[in-house]
Amino acid sequence: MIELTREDISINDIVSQMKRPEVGSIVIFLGTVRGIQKGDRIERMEIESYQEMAIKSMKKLRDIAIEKFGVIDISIVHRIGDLRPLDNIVLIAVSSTHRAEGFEACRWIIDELKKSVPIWKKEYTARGQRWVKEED
Amino acid sequence: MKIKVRYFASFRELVECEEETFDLDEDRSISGLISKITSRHPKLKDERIMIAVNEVLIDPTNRLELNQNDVVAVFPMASGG
Repeated sequence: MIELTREDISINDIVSQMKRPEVGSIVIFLGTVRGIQKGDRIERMEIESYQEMAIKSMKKLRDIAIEKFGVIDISIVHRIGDLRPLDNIVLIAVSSTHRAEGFEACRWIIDELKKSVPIWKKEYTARGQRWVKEED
Repeated sequence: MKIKVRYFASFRELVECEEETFDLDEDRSISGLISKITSRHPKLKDERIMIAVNEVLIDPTNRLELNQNDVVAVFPMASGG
């Protein structure tokens, strides 16, 4: 499943859909909203995307990773809209026969997603608002 | 030829609009369009500009010529995840 959503991410539903007889491992990465960033308390976060391109980019990452790491399936679900501390931001789930290739693929996807998928985060603190930079 | 440009995130706030149109006549290249954008919006000159044509990232110095119905988007480095 590749999706941008304004709703919370249903981790159990996504993982259940990925279970198949040939799958022996599902590696999950879950990114969440920090409550503190650089000493400031985060009040909320807004996530914006260039939706058409973001979906296309995430599908491309999935296809490359399946080929590159030999995993079975990959789900990438990213929240957009208004989020609060502790909310889920992104779920990446990788199913494979064995765990090693699943861990590698999952790490590669989150690193690539941060660089190449057009999604941006804006943090709101008591001191004001700021767009998150890629190196943060 | 008129080309519609979409802006996202901090760039949308800097230029104070979501999209606008540029006239490209003699120079229809991507780098030519970027020059026009930064002339109209000097605030973008100090920014690292990402540009997508038809939803694919393109090098901003590319001399590739744009076509009438191309969808162009300009935005900062991604920060999702």
